[in-house]
Amino acid sequence: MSQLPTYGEVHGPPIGEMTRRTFMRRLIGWGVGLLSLEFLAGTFAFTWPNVRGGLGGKVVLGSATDIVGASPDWATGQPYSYQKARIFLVNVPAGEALVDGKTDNVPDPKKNVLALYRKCPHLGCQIPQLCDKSHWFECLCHGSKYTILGEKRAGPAPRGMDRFPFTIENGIYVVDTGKLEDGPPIGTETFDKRTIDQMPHCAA
Amino acid sequence: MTLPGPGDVVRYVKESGLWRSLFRQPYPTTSRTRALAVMNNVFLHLHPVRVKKHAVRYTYTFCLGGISFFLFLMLTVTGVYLMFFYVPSVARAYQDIISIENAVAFGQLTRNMHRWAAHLMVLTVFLHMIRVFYHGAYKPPREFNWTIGVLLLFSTLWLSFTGYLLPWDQIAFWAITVGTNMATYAPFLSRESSFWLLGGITVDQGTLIRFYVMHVIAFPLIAAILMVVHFWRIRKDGGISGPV
Repeated sequence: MSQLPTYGEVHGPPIGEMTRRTFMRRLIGWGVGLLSLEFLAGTFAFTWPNVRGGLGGKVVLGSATDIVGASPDWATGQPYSYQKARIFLVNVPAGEALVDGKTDNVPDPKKNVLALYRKCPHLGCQIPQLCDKSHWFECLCHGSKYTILGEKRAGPAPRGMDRFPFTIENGIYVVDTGKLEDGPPIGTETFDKRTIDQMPHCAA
Repeated sequence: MTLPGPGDVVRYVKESGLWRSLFRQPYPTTSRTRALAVMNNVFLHLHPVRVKKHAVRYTYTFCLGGISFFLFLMLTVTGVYLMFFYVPSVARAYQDIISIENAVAFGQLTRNMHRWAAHLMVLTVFLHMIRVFYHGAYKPPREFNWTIGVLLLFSTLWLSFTGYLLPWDQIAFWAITVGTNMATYAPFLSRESSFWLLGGITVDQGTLIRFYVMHVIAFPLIAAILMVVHFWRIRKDGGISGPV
């Protein structure tokens, strides 16, 4: 077949070579593309929530003495509700004694505490203070129930209560609300092995 | 000396440069001048010069797209009015809604128009999509416009969702709590997407201002740009699809 040029044919560069025009066009194309990506990334960086010192960041609770001052029955096991961090700070040894029906005064449990997130892992309702009848945390929205250690015992929740890591710096409790840890999976029973039908409840 | 009569005044006005810059051809009386009148006017030129007979039959489209656009315009206007009185702060938002309803002249009317138009717009956009689907009007060459339409549906739903939080009452708070919880089930960036949407880890001031900005500026702008493309594409794809 003959290689006669047809009318209006545009002569391209030889195979393997690039014209100045193509080079410039690609340069602009990639440049604009790169800038757009940078702009998009910058937008996300700009709109990334700033949570320093508040919920989502590190929240300072004070020393054990401060906590007992704010909530005296924390030493005898009542979880301390700290609303700024949306947590229950559970005094584990005193709390376990409370569930067992004993009174144990632990004014400074040191590392032996839990920072349980009050948001129910089911659909996000705020879990109320420990139920007096059962000594469980009972979500009033859909009836998920958790032990004082946040282990799930009943209801529709997919796991136990989520928790925040905390540090004790010079005796001061600091909760890192930016690092939420999943609650223990269903079936975790480290303490309080009562079943749902063994006591009265606050939530149906 | 004779005073100029009304006819002289009309002639003077019509021959002025200002008049002729506004009305660039004589009163349209022929097919040609009618077409010119449409093409020379920025608002009219959006419309085709000629429309197919079947396309104007009301029961063919039920004007669902047009009604959706009308509702969008109504929401824009009433929304701007509401912005004069609403402050997106957790301390004020709910009180502002109450005072719009009780203390602002026509406030209750404006708020109700905004709310009902929003509900209706979700409905008409949905019905419009169904109409287009059952007419097969998503088929080539209109598949690109169908995609734009899907993006417009998402914009409408997102505008509706972000607006739902603004009254800052119980139903708003919990609706957004449940809604943003769904984001935590997304693959890979589950917690991050929820964190970014909420502006924190729970529905709070950070969420309110975020949703407000998306509701009053970002998404109306995105939706408007998409609508421009959507309407232009209808013309380019040969007008409203014909009966199968």
